[in-house]
Amino acid sequence: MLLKIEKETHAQMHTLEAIMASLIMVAIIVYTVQATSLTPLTSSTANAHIEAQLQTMGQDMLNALSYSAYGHDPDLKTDILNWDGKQYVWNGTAYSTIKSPIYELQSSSLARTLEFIAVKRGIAHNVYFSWMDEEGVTASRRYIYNGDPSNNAVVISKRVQLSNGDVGNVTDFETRTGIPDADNSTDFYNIVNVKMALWRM
Amino acid sequence: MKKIDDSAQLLLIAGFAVGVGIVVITVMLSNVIYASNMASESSIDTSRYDIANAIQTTTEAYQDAYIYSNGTYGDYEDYIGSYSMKASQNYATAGFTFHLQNHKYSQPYFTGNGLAGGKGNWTLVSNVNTTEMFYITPNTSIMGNESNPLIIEAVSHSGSSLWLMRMYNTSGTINITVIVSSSTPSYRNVTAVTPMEINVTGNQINGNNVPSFNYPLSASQDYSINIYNGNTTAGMCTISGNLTPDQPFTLMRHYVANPTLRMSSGQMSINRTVPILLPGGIA
Repeated sequence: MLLKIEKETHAQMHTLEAIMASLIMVAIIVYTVQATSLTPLTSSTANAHIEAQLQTMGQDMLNALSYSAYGHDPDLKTDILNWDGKQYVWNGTAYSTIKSPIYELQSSSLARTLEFIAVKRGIAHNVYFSWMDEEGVTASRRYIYNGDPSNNAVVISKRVQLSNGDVGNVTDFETRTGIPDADNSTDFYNIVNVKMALWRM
Repeated sequence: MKKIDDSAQLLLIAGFAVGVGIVVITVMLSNVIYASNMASESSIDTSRYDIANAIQTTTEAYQDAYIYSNGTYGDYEDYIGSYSMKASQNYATAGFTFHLQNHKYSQPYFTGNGLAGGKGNWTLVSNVNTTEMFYITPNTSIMGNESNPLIIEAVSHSGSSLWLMRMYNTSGTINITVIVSSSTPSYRNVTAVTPMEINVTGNQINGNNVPSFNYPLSASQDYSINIYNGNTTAGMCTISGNLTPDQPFTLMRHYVANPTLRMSSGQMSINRTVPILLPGGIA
């Protein structure tokens, strides 16, 4: 009788031990999975998928805007030529200047594309125009600015070649935008690098 | 006492087993996450976009150089030189070296890319609604014979022929045949001179009036203009009009340049020869 009670105690101990062990294992697994979970703002190698998605999305946008059929200027080039040199911000309904909120960005294919694709998906975005002067010094100005990008931001760029014929009045264009004529001796004007930064809000 | 020792040993071994299991699971999970990130990061390589972008800007630069040089080769070369230097500086900041060579241009063939080895049977333009101007200037000394004539055909969406022009050189005589739909062919025989400018829409050859070519300036339906045996004949071509929906177009094929573009970075190096038609499509 005494032997039987002792065996039952051992069996209970083993059962308890097994339960405890499985609890510990489950707890560790849960802890490990939680520790490496992905969030849109996780800044680590773990959010590379999201960065790759943004990169592809941005490239597609700029590629579409760079396309031109049968010799018409691409929309991206037209946007640069139409730029008034001002900085615009998304105010919830339109891109407007900070100093004068009623002054909205007009006839910009890039802004329209960003509004349809980036704004609706909650993707923050900045657009910069950068160029080099005759001496090779780089300069950059903001076209659309919605704040400092996060650590997860991706930058997509597209270069656009401008000639004097595209620009028209060279002096007026340089005064307006700050983009200089890189070579006064030829009809080549400059190369503008359109940089777009995208990041999750 | 001995039985208590056995239980303690069992608990100890069970503890070790649990510990080893946790380590194994953690390492496996870590490897899975690492491997998936490696795969996705490979798609972030953007060099292919840079190369495509360089080809596009180079094409535009050559076409602009030709347009603004007004036929002066020195101005054309200066433009390309300025573009090449600025592009090199721009790509240097992105970690690429950029180099352009062979700026010369030559007379194009009636092929897709303008080179002798290009595609001979191809579509010059699609969805044409109206044609305002159509000039063909074949080089009569580089022209196909009767068995390989240059054929230019306007074809409807349904595939039926609206208009066809066939031309070839027979011992110094240029034979031109025009067929409108299924009507009887009309013929012109012209002594070979170079340049020989055929104004298809204005019904003239070298400025002299000729019987109508009956080109469908405004057909009742949209059509494409196809070229066949383009690799047998060299020459220039200019066409303008309107596409559907109401989009003006102009295509000009005066010359073809075939520059080689070289880009290199720490990871890759690429040489790409890009046929560029001058002045190309202009607005």
